[in-house]
Amino acid sequence: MTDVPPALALHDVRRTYGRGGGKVTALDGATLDVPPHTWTAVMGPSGSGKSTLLHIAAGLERADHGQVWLAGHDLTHASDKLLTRLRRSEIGFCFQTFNLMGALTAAQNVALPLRLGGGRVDKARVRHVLASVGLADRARHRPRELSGGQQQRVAIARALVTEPTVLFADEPTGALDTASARSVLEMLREMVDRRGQTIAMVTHDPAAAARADTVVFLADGRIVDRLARPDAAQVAARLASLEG
Amino acid sequence: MWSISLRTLRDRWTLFVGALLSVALGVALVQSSTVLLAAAGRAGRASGASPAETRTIRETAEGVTSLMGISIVLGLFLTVFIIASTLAFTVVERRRELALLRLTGASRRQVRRLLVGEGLVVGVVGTGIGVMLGTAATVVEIRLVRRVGLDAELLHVEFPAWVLLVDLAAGLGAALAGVLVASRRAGRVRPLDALRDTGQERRVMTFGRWAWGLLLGVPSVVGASLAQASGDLLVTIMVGLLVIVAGSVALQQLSPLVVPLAARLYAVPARRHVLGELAQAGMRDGVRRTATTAGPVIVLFGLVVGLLGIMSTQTEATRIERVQQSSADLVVASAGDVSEQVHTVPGVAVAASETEVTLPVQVPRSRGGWVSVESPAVTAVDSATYARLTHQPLLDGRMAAFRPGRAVLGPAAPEDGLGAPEAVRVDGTRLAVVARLDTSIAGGADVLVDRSDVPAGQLKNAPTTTFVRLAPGASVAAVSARLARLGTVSTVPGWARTLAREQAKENNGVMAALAGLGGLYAFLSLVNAVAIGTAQRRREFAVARVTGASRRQVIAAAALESLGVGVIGVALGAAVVAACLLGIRRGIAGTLGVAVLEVPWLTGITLAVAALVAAAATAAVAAYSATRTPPVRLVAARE
Repeated sequence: MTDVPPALALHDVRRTYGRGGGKVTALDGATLDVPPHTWTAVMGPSGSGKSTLLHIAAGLERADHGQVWLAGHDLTHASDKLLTRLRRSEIGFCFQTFNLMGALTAAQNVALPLRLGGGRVDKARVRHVLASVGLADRARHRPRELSGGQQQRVAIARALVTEPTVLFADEPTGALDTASARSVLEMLREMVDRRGQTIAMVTHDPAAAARADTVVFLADGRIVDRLARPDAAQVAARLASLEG
Repeated sequence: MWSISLRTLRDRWTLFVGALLSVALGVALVQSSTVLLAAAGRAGRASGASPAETRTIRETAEGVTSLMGISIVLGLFLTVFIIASTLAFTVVERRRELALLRLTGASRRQVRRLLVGEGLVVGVVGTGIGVMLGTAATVVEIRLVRRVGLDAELLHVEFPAWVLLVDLAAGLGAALAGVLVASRRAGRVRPLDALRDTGQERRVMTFGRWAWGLLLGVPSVVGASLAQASGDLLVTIMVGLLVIVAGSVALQQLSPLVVPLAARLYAVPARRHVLGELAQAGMRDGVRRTATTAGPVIVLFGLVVGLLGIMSTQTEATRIERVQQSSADLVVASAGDVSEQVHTVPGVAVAASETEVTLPVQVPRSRGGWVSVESPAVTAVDSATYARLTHQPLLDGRMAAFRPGRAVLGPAAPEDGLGAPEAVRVDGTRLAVVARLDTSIAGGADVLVDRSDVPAGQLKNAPTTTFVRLAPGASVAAVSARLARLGTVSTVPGWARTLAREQAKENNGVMAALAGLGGLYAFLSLVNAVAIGTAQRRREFAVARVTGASRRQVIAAAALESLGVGVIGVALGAAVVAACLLGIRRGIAGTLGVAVLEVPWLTGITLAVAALVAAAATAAVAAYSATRTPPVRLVAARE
């Protein structure tokens, strides 16, 4: 895989919060490549820097040191304008809290990134994306009229409608019951296998991580281990050893 | 962004009700005032009326113009103020939503446009409601104008179509001016804020608040101390006005600093009861909420009580001045000139009559020729006896030289720009000026002339005041009884009191109009702030209930907190009023030698109670509705 340029690359990224006595080092030289059309899960104990890693990789926060490359752009020095443009085309997000716009219907939520980008909204495409997450019949519902699993599907549809280079997912199954979680993970797996979607996901659920192609483990702000094609038991054991 | 604006408004209309109502109120006010102003303008140009009628019409028009002018300025100021604070507040409350838009790819400019779009809708809809309200308001205003003693019958009220344009300009202008600050703030929301659980913006004391607070606060403090050092009444009144306006707005801007500080004072009494402790903690913690609640209370209390205090202190000072400057024993108020008859009453040693007359006055121009004085106030007096009973300080000249064919420039002359001419022309006759009176608190005439220089017809039925000094040994009661057939007889203090009462009635009428208006706005913005602030605390309330608080306790704590913040607001407003009135007290002491302090207690207490009841009741209702959902569902829910 080394001959293909990675969709996302972090090199020696450092980030500290606070000053003086209250100083916290969240990332301490993290280096990570996410190859295109693969699913990478980031795991680690609480406070290991998972969320910070994801935020910096997605251009939501700036690194103090190091470099972040996404789809050929250097995010460490990107302007707000460039970051906005990347969010419209190259980056998709889905989170534990679904973060849908309560005032808009499911279809409107999905169409939002396209409309913000200023292009004409292809209604067929919105319908198609909604159908691909299994919500063709829920297009006119407001988020509050949908179940948690359905809301997360809308959020994923919204993230994918721009066909982003990388989909960032932060605990996408964290707020879901087991059945909903399984079907959301199934759907993500299909996105990677069938459509070649690249996913970078943070989770602490071994079952979720086991669906990824690669699992990297973060401790004290560094990548300390990685597993390829893992199963849930292996992931859980590795995580337990880190937390212990 | 346009359709998102519309959808947000439809979905979260409760956040915008306050802004919408204040636009409607502002437009209604502008419309009705503009209609009356236009009528007053036409009345001022009315022709075919007698000189006396023309003068009454002009006075009415001037009265209406100044009252309406003040209402428009105040109304628009308050409208912009409320919209700005309401929308800025909604930005804070919708922080996550806006951050989410940024996360989904919205640029800063798009987020700003979203807010401006909302402002536009609020402006247009508010204007529509305002036009309807305004028609009703015109009727009310005509009634108010009549109540303050102005004659509305003389005005011919019409509804020209261009008023609608004025309405739209005012409504949209106010909404857009109000939305500016909020949209700038919205543009600064970062995408990452969507993922942080801190629903609140951390920095409450923004640069703008610091800048405005210090820009207005420092001059207020300096002014208040200057007033203490000055002994000049005019200076202290001017400074007093500055202190109440700038001081209240400064405190309002600085309230995120001041209110939590003041809330610490509650710590000791609050510790004795769990609800008090909860309320006090809420006050210190919800800085933005408490600041938004206290702000309107400070401004309302400071402005209304301060202005009324200045007016009533001035009225009281006028009363004292009148008594001080008069050495008469009795005052006869009559309809028409009775000076001849008064002179012949046994026991009367000296009598001096004063009658206000309407005569054209001209002053010499420096380049030669004469120029007319606008609406001159001329008083006809007995030149021989005037100075024996009324003792006013002089700027220059000698009152002893006052006689028929001569004139004295009155206390209002310097302000009305008459200058220091050697002679004036009254009704076309040249009269040499022999003295100039110093300005006084009561004000008065531009020119004093002898009665014999005034056409007899002007004096015949005009209201006349005759000052009387008794002969040594004469009985006050006996002379009063004899004078009673000529007019209403009173002592000098009694006469001054009656005049003061009349003045107070007029002041109260004006203040009722302004305070009623300001009160309505302050009430709106207070209710708005408390309602939005409390409604956003659903989760916090739910946590409290899961911890063991009953619904009643949660509501009581919220109401108590709101009440406590209201008390702080009233106290800060009162501090501003005190700084202003104490300065004026110094000024009056310097001018009259007597310290005068008239505090409008009744208005102050009424206003305070109304504000506190509104704050507590709104918080209780909002907390009641925020605790309707079972707590477990809220605590467990992520969204």
